[in-house]
Amino acid sequence: MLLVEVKTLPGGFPVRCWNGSVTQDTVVGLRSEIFSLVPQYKSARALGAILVELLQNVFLHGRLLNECPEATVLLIEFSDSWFLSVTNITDMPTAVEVNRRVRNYNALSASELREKMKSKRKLPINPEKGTAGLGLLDIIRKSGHTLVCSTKPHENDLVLLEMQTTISKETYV
Amino acid sequence: MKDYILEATSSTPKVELKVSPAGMLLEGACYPENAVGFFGSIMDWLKEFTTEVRKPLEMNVRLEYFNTSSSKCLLDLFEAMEGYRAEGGEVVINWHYCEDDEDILESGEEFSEDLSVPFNLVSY
Repeated sequence: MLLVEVKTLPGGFPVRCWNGSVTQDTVVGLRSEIFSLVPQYKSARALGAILVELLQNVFLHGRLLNECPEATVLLIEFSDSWFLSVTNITDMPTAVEVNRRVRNYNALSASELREKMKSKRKLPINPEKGTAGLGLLDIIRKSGHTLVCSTKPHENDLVLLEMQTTISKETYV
Repeated sequence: MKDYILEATSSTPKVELKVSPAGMLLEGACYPENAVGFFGSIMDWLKEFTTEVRKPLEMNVRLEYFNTSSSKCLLDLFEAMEGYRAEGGEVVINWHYCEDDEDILESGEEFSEDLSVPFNLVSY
């Protein structure tokens, strides 16, 4: 098991955690694990998709460090929702840019998100900037909730970037 | 020109690109670490086919999941099919989706809105 249960919240809600360096094998393994942990197939499919976007587009393909042993994935199941948090180290300019995009995208309506994704999809992939925020849009759209983005100071001018999202169970019944 | 066949992996789909009978198939999950690299070979095959073979071509896409990087590459493939059609090629794209998977269906609808090639949404 990659996602290990580390504690149980009041009410019996399990907190599962993974910690290490993000590689493609990790992405595949964590997505696979979601399917074994989440019995509702449609919820698992959505959670798996959101997790892949978080890990790949935010952490593997940005100007972020690929070797970050501090990378953390946190999954909590509540009675009506799933909470997913991914943390990794990055440089401050990247964190500022991600925060700016997230703020802008969070403000979009469902139809605006749809149109934004369609227009972004037509842009060529930038080797340095990846898909230019397409993954962030996809996360917000699939989750149906705002994406919460925060930073904490780390050593050597780096910061810990945390992204949190919630997926309502009723969205994927 | 040769067929191009790839077996599926946990993060890449089965790929069958055949010259005779002509057809393209992508089936499975698609979230490679390097989507541009993965789709590059498929695009190369398609370019060669549309330049040298120029037969009617059917593309079947049956993906249970794809990431956003792959969605950009898929659009590039569809636009290449569109270009082939504009030059007189006969093409059809069949977008297969599981009947309870609204995300895959919606993605197919979004692709079809911006394309002029025959684009069929096929449930299974």
